[in-house]
Amino acid sequence: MKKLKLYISTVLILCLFLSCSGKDESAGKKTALPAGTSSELKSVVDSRGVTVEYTASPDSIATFPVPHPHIIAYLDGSGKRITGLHPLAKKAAAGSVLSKIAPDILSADSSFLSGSSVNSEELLKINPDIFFTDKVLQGMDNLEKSSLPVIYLGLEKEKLKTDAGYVEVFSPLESIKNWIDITASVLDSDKEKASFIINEWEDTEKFIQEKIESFDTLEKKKILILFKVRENLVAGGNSFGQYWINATGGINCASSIKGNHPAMSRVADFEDILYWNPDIVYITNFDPSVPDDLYSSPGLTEKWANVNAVKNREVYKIPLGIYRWYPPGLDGPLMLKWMAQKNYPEIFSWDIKDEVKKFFEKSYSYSLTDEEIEKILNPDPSGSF
Amino acid sequence: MTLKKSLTLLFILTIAVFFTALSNGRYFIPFPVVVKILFSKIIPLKESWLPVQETVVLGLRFPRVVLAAVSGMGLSVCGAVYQGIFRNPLVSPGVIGVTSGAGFGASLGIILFGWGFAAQGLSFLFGFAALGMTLFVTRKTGGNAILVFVLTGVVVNMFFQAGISFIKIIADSEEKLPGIVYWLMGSFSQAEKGHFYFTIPLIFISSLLLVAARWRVNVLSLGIENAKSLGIKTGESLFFVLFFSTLSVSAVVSVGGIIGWLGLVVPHITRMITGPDHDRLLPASAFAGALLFMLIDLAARTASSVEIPLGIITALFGAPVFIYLLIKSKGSWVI
Repeated sequence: MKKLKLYISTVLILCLFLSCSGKDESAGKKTALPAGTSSELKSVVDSRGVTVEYTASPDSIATFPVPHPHIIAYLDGSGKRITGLHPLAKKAAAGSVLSKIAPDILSADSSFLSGSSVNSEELLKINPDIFFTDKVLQGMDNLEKSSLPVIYLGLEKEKLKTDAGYVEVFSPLESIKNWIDITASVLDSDKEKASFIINEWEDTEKFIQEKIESFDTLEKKKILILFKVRENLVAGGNSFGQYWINATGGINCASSIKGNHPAMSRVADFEDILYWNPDIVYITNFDPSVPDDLYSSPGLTEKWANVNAVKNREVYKIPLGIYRWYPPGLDGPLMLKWMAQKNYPEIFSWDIKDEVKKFFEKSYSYSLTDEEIEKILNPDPSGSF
Repeated sequence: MTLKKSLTLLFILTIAVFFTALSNGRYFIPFPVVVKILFSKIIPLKESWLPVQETVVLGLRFPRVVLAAVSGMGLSVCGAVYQGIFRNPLVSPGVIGVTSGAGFGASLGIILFGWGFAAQGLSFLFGFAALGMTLFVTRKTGGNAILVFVLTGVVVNMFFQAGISFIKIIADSEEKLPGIVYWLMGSFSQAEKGHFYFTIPLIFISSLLLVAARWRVNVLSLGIENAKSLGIKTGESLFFVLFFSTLSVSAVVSVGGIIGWLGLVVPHITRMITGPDHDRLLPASAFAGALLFMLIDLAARTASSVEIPLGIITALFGAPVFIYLLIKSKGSWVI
């Protein structure tokens, strides 16, 4: 009996201790959507087609999608309103010029997110006005029960004409259009700013297409985008990669591989890559590998030595500007110019460093140093975690 | 059929499948060229093939086919041994938690250091940690060793499975998660020449030692009490068997991921032919495992341009075949 009493009192003391240990950080702050609030309510239709109501001009935004913070920072001109973001977005920002354009991002909270799960109580502690996500996250059921407005930013698809007929691909352009649209209307952003990137992107895409079409006898390059090198993960036929390759006049070697992931699929065997024998290979920023790894790193070079791209030293690491260039991002127009030039240097003779500098000045009002431009075009492999 | 005859037949079949696997793949190379490339390493031959063909045959297919063969051998022998010593037809190499332990170690390695030696090392470490945990608990209880052992194994298994799930949740969906998920589903696509120096010999030797010690398995399969009454040092035998099977299973997991299913099924299929005597069952399982793994891996890398993980192929095709055999034989071979 004595023992039982001891057990019970220990458990009670523990309960008391645990219940006191949670920090009350919300004291003095307003709740997400207080009952009877006098602030004006606005609504937006998100990517699911659901109308979400939120308090007008939100001043605390938490967001899950890794590319999203740089879009908010662009539209807002700063990162002041971003109070919560993905740890990887913070890391990507720290390694790019985004941290100079919007330094506030680095002090925002990222403890409530890990991988693809959200700790809803930790998130509510930050007390955001709005939460953005691109998919259903582990632990989100609680969030939807609370009054916090959750806005979905989905990836958009586009039908593209390829050598293998029409295919539906995950489109970086259409996705960015959609993300900018929704975000700009929530933030009440300047309309011109919202449309600037898209206009620039569409103009560049059109220019490149017309230029390539004007060369009747052009022999199209066979291209392979490696999402992850050692795991044999490549950009398949309905990925973002298909879009980039199409837009820059190449042929995607891996177009026969179709998966449900927007960025990559796994090749059955390395023999496929040898069979395709790509002329040019690109490596994304989702892998720390660099071209030199394919040229000379033991374990890789033996496999790659007979591939044309390696023989001709045509392996390139995709740059990392305000954000990574492979997934949807605001630097999309630059990605098109850079890749078109790598594919057909004889056609596209622009000075890419100059293009980067001009673009950053025009879109982000930021003047890049030569060193920063160099770092964008030759990103630090550690930036890809 | 005598043991010698059936083993010779299995051996010939294995060699035939080995050459079939080597000469088929996504990159077409005529069979005579494959043979020439292979023999050029033993006898000097004039190089009449393309360098890329040599890369495919010697750099890609050879390590992968050999790795698949020894892994099949390792897992099948372990499965047969475990089914014998635990006197339970339902157990597979995963039963004492080694597979999940090693799987957890490798996932941890991938998330911390990316794919590489560290992941392989951690895979071994946690494979043995799982065995250690199971042995420790069994020793502490002292009672019915085998039953406690299996029960503890199941719990250890769940513990590490939870660990794997946890890692999957915290892993970033674009960075580490794809690597972990593809690897967990099982694949030999990471096979490379380097595996000839360590992993392949390790699995091969461990399996050979287990096959060589088949009399110990026979004795243990009588039950601990009966074995003791025959004057056998059961503890020593049990430790020997568990040590080498853990070594072999951890090594397979460290390079190929979790491929659990065949370790359960191959011993049963073999038992239909050889009967329950481990003297015949173990060598036959070794060949049958090697043979089937080479075939399944061949299917995995040639069926489509997207890789189909081994776990999926084995379950999709293996399950119906197994059920058919079970119905046809009315389950008569189950111990």
